Amino acid sequence: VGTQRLDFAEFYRDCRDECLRTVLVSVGNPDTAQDLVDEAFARACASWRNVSRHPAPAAWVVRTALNANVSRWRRRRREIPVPDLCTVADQPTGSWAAESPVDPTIKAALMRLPTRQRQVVALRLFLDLDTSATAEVLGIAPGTVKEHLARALASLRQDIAIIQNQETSS
Amino acid sequence: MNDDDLITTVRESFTGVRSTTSVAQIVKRSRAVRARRRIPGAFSGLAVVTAAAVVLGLGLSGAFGSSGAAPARGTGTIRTASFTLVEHANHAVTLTINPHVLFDAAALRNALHEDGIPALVTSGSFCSSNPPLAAFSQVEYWRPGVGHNLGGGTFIVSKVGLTINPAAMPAGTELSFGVFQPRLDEQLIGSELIKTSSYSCSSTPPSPPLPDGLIFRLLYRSAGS
Repeated sequence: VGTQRLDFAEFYRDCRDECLRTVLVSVGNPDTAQDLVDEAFARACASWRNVSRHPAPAAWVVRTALNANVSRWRRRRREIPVPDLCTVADQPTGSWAAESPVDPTIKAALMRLPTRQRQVVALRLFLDLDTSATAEVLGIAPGTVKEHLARALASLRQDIAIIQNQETSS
Repeated sequence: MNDDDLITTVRESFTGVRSTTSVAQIVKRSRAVRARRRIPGAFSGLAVVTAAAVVLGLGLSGAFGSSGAAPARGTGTIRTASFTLVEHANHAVTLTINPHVLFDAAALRNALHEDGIPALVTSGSFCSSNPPLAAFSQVEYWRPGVGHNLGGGTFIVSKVGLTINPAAMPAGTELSFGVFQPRLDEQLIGSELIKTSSYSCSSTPPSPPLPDGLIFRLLYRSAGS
């Protein structure tokens, strides 16, 4: 048990920031992201014997966090009307804008992406997952991952350039 | 800006985002997760969990007043960690499967037999008759609207709650349940009606469309929520 606890502690220290960044980009709210990641790591700790044998435990954590977000969103949906049932991520909030250490240009460009594209970007960039692992985490086809990533990078490149040009001209 | 530059820019812009939760807080929260997973009453005074069940990871518990890994039985109810079987006055039974515990095929088969429902419950294989028996729809009911319907008789669910009507089972038939674990966080359960004298089993999980059967993708994701 002691060894397992040490293993988990090491895993947690190594992966917590990357997992948080991935989930933050996916859900768009820092408080929600922190809580989801904490819960996912707690579940990983509770089942560490199994999770540690997973080929990509960090991906397991992110997937658990995103699934928990969907569950949370479904519970909330029963309580208040939601205009767009296809969007499961939280809407970007002012709290991220006000306190975030993230470059506002990058953040604005990211938050303009559709949820799925943001998730693909986050998994590829922060967890370094390859196409098939990203597809596995999100439950979509590898070809769809490639398509989302290509579109997301094109949109990001365009948006960042526009914002930077606007800032330069003003 | 090429792709590599773009990726580096985005990645570096997040270096200031860091988790503020300590590992001690996570470990403490994990204890709450474990506590949520426990089935109420599973560890009451007379509960005896056999070493075999523990070794097999069946999560079998709650043998009230009995020995070994026998399921708990109240009035018309059989309860184990992995499922609950409730017999109603009209002899129909409701089967509820707990998604947070590895499915216990042998215990379910025994419990169904106790309730007079002939069943073949297999783990890692699925048995079916060819052609499939259309009477299935009269035997097994799944509440419409529960879970995410993928079509072809396939549902993604966080919890399975089936009603089985043994009176509608034609003579010489039995229910087939095949349980698979394709991923760490998912169980796949297929169900059909089969002829006792003529069926075949395959280690391939059932795939849609299953017009005279049901497939459940049971996700562990909502543990404790």
